[in-house]
Amino acid sequence: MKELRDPADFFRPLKETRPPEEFWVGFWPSVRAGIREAELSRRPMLTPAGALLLGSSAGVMVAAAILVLGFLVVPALRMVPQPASYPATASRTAIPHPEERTSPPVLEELGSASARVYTFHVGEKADATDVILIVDEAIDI
Amino acid sequence: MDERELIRQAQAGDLQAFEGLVKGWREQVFRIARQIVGEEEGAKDVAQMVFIRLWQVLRKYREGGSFGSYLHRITVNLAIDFCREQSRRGMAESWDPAGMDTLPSLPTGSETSPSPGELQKIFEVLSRRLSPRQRAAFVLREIEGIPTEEVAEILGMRPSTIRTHVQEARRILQEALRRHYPEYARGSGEKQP
Repeated sequence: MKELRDPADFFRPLKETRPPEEFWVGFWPSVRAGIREAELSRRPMLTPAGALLLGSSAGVMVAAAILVLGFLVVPALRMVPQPASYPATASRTAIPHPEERTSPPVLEELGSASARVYTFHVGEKADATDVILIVDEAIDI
Repeated sequence: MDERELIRQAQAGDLQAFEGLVKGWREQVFRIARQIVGEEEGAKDVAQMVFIRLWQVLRKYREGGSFGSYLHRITVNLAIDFCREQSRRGMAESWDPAGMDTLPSLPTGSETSPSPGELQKIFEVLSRRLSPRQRAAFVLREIEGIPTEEVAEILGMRPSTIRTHVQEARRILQEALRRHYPEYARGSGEKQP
């Protein structure tokens, strides 16, 4: 009875198999394209000269920004009252301080001789305000 | 131009010299990749990746070492990576004895030998039973005829480990051959390993 065949001997002829020449068409161009693609992806975004140029440009821009801040923005800010100097009731600045208060503005010219105007002072200090009440029996509602 | 000179020029960035190296080594690189990967198109992709990688790392190669071993190491590593990636994606063909039915009808009689195409197909199907390392060790040692010490260097293993892998691969292939291709399993009196 024959011995079992050694698979190493059986498969060794695979070493002699060669693909046809047309199999290699396009092989080198693909390798070359792959090499270029790999090199492009590994290349740094900036060359040293580009980095220097970009760095210089950035420096110039920073210097310009400092100049603009120093000569234009800061003086303009100095002219505007700082928020901290406003009273806490800044929204009430329309109501003058009692000492500075003048007569209320004319709301309406009253042509009636029977009309009476009552003014009530309500609140104190900064909260003080006037309530004006006009009474006229001749008003026909 | 001899190979050393081509390597030197390619290391200096000469693509034309590198093309000469590619032409000189592409068949062996493709053949090794094909036996490990198990299919032609995938092996061609791997062979292209091998040369792209070689270009990237060629400057690190130092004269005195075997250029073939250097290139084979890249080939085996990329081929095994390819197998793992295919396996991860579920694209690798797993062992399927039923797949034998798709093989070409083979001539009967132990004295006859299969055609190169048939032999390739048989190896592709049977070697699916081997691990990638066993397959690589068997292909490099038994098909390509590379000495065990060099195979050990390529695979980064000890020579004793390579011998174990090769023996195990031979045993598995012999058993698969006996079961599925009995007509080829019996030789003409060759001595058993």
